[in-house]
Amino acid sequence: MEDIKQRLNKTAFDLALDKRKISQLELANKIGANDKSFSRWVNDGYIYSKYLWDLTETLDLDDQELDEILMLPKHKVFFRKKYLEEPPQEVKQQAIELSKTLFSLTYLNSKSHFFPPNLSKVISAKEVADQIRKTCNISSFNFLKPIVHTLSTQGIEVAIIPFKKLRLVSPDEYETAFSVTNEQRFLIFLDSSAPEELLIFNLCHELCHLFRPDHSYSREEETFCNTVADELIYPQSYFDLRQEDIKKIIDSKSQESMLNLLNNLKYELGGGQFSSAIRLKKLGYFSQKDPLHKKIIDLAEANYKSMPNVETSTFNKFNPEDLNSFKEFWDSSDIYSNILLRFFFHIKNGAINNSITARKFAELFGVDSGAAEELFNKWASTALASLKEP
Amino acid sequence: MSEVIVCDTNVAIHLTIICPDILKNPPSDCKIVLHQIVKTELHRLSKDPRKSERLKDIFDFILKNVNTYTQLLTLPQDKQIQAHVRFQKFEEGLPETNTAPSSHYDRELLILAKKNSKKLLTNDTKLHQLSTAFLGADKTWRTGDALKNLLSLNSLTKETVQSGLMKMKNPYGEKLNAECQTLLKELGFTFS
Repeated sequence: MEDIKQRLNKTAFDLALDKRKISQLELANKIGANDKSFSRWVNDGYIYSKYLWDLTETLDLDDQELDEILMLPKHKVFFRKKYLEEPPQEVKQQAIELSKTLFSLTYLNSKSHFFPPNLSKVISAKEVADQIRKTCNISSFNFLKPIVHTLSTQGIEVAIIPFKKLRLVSPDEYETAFSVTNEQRFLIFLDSSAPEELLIFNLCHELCHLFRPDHSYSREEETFCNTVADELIYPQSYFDLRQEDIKKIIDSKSQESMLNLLNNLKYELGGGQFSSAIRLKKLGYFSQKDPLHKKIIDLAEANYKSMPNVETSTFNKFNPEDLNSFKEFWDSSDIYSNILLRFFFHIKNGAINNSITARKFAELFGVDSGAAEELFNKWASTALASLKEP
Repeated sequence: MSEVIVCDTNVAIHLTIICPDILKNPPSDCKIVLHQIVKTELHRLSKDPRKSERLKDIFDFILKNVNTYTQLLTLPQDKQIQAHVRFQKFEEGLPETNTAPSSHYDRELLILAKKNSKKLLTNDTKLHQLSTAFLGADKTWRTGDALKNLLSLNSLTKETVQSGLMKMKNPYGEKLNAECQTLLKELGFTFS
């Protein structure tokens, strides 16, 4: 095995040396490198990795200097939270670890770098929504599976995961979605403990954040992204075209007709009755003051609350505290056939291809490393057996 | 010359199968040692029923007979956290490998070996890759390198190694990786 070298930004490195009034020669001597070779490496823009620790210690580089010298991708996490406080460090760290893992394992799409236009200065939610549709090449945001598939081909991974079981919740509050970017690729995490209808909404909201990177966290920006999400799922143009028909139905004061309207919207635009009702309210068709409108919204909400959530249907066996059930989840054929389990498919594939270690798997999913190792061995032998099959 | 080598769990298991005395009474010129974090990890592994079924006597031997090595320097907590962050950054700067990032345990061993300027002995793919990068190829060993060195120092006989290698697959269900096998085949050993 040979020593490994990695990229180094000469300008940032020279700046760090200047700041500390130390020459390349002095530094090379201090870290035990040959001074002439060291100078050549730096001029050629690389360094042998084995000197990095001593170099960093000797110069006492801070995190930002190290990022610049090693030209590291910056991971940014955008949380969509119920409350607006910064999430705890351990939640943020787990989010970054999951993202780094998925970025490294989805190498088939690693060349599909996604460079969305920066829409931070656009003030029209409709304009932002139109640009998202155009850039993502998705005309309607009605059904989760095709959206997830189309986004993945463009370098945006969507991972639907049980946040609570993966330690992505804070003690007193919870996140329902977040996105992570390393400035080249994007990853959107959606909490599975909600009906598919809400997952689509959260996904659209996160997409909006990706297109508006200059905005730091604020209540205004959250509201704006919610409006964009509404516009993506229920485009205003759809309602404008049918304005008279919709008004006629609403003016009829017939509960049955209005519920039929919601069902039609659900059929044509996807989502569910409740989100259709909310959209009608936001567009001014429904009024909270009208008792019948309020009743329709309440009925739709009750219907929404009774909808199955994705966690129950897809993750009931994903339980790191019950190893047998956990193993059954990973051995299920759903991992290969259900695109909503894309994250888990990549992890399992990575395990079979030795791209993720049992230790890392154990750490990410909070299971014992011995159990993870046994799971890995079983997958490896199954993969080997299938290769040997005629 | 006295040399201390920090040993990972997987190699500890292999060496116990092949030559248990090397860990129990390590020779001073090739002192392969277990730090407390490795022993704790072995203890954890021993609790897994399927692993324990295969390797019960190996775990029992290590946990009862191999002392932890206490002379390795560790960092104060704040420096340790900083070291983890730094290694994570170094790792991100490595050429693309299409492998998942290191685990906390991987970095604990790396930090331990780097801080104490020791060799690291591991068969774990990721840890071996990181150790080769950040400690250097000459400071990163697999089971095969350790056996080769112990043989050259006459701390082991070829007969001991050969008979140990035959026990790896049966009864213990363990396997050396391809690189180790190649090295040991070059030294004239055979595998069951």
